[in-house]
Amino acid sequence: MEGLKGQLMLLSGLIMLFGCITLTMVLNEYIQALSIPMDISGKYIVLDVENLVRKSIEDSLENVTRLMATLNVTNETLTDYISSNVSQILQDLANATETYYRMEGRYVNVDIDKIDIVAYNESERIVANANITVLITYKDEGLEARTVVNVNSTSEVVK
Amino acid sequence: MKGQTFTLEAILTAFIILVTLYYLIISFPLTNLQKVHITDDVYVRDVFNFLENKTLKESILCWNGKVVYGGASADDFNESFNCSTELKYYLKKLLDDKRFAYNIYVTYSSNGSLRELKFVYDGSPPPNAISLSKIVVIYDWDNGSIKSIVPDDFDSYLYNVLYVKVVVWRV
Amino acid sequence: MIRNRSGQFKLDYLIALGFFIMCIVFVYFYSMNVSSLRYTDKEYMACAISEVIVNYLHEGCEPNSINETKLEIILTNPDVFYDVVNSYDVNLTVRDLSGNLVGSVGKVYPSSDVGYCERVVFNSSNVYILEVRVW
Repeated sequence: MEGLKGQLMLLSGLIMLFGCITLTMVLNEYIQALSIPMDISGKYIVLDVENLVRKSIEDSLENVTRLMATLNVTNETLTDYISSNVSQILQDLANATETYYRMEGRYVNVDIDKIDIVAYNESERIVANANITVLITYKDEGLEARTVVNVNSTSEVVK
Repeated sequence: MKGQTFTLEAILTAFIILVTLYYLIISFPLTNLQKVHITDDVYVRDVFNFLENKTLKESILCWNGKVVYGGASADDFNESFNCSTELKYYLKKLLDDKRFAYNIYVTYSSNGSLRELKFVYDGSPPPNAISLSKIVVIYDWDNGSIKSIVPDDFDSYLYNVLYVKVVVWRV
Repeated sequence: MIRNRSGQFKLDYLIALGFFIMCIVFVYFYSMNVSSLRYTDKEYMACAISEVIVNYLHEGCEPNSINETKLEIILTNPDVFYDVVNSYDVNLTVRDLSGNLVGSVGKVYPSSDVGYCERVVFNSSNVYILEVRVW
């Protein structure tokens, strides 16, 4: 065939071209993936969860106490009610938080270590004091970030 | 016969050359890679730390479920909310004015399964977009139109726990 | 009828060579731009220094909340500022959300080769944008 050499050269040039561009696109993705600043420490997750737990304890303590403000019950009933409700809220929140982070592929463990709630009646108000310790752990293939959060919160609600 | 073969060969060659040229030309944008700024990562995290503290929960509480297309620059931003929120102002000043586009997704749990809703949507994000997430807690004593969209998934005074995912990129 | 077909041969050769050269040029331009993906040291330094400043101003349990008095101190006393950042080639400019200047401390920054990092801080009443420049 005439022009076979030329056509073969054309074909090889073409194949080189496609190969070059494909290689460049693959390298491009690889370099882009490498250059995303990835936070490997999990430090921010632990801070976020700590903040969440603190805010939640304050909010729930105040509002649950407020719910009891209109009733007139003994100190024991008050303490039991507030304590059980706040513990339930915190445990549910811990489970939901763990589930959400696991959905993202991150292992977070929120462990409610100790809940000490004391509530009593005063003449014009109800005072509730909570001393809660929460252990927050973040684990990621050999990396572990942990913090112990101790919240001492008092809530006073006028009757 | 020979003449037709030559013509066919010429046409096929011309076609292959044109296809190759086209492929080459559309791949030239690959040579202009976007520069990634480390300051973006830190800045976006700051912005959402601030928003979580100020207006995020209030805005989500009075969200009526209508997706905001176009972010804070959208004309019908306020139609998605049943109350006036400062979210539009802050998003505009902190993100839109610095030429960021963002998507915000809200995930809630319903009877054990998770549902994801689009809150603010600005298009499909590029592969190097910054992504972060915040958790917003709704209790039984919070009031808002979000309660008609999100069910009460807990027996305790906890109403639902929302997982707010944010994706931000430069335009 | 075409008698001499060698002309076709030379044309094919030229086109193939042309494609190959375009390939080389393309890869060359790409590799020149790859270096733009690496962070400049100045930007890293600017963000590190901004973290130092935000840590100094930080008060409370939320990550970016600050003490307003500390902000005023650092804006009005350059010595405190230089002490906190531990370097003289730093400029901190504080603006509010509308872009109005709240305060500025540090030497005037040059117009080129400056690393820049922007932070957002707030307290119960105000929001500030900190612009940290390092050279």
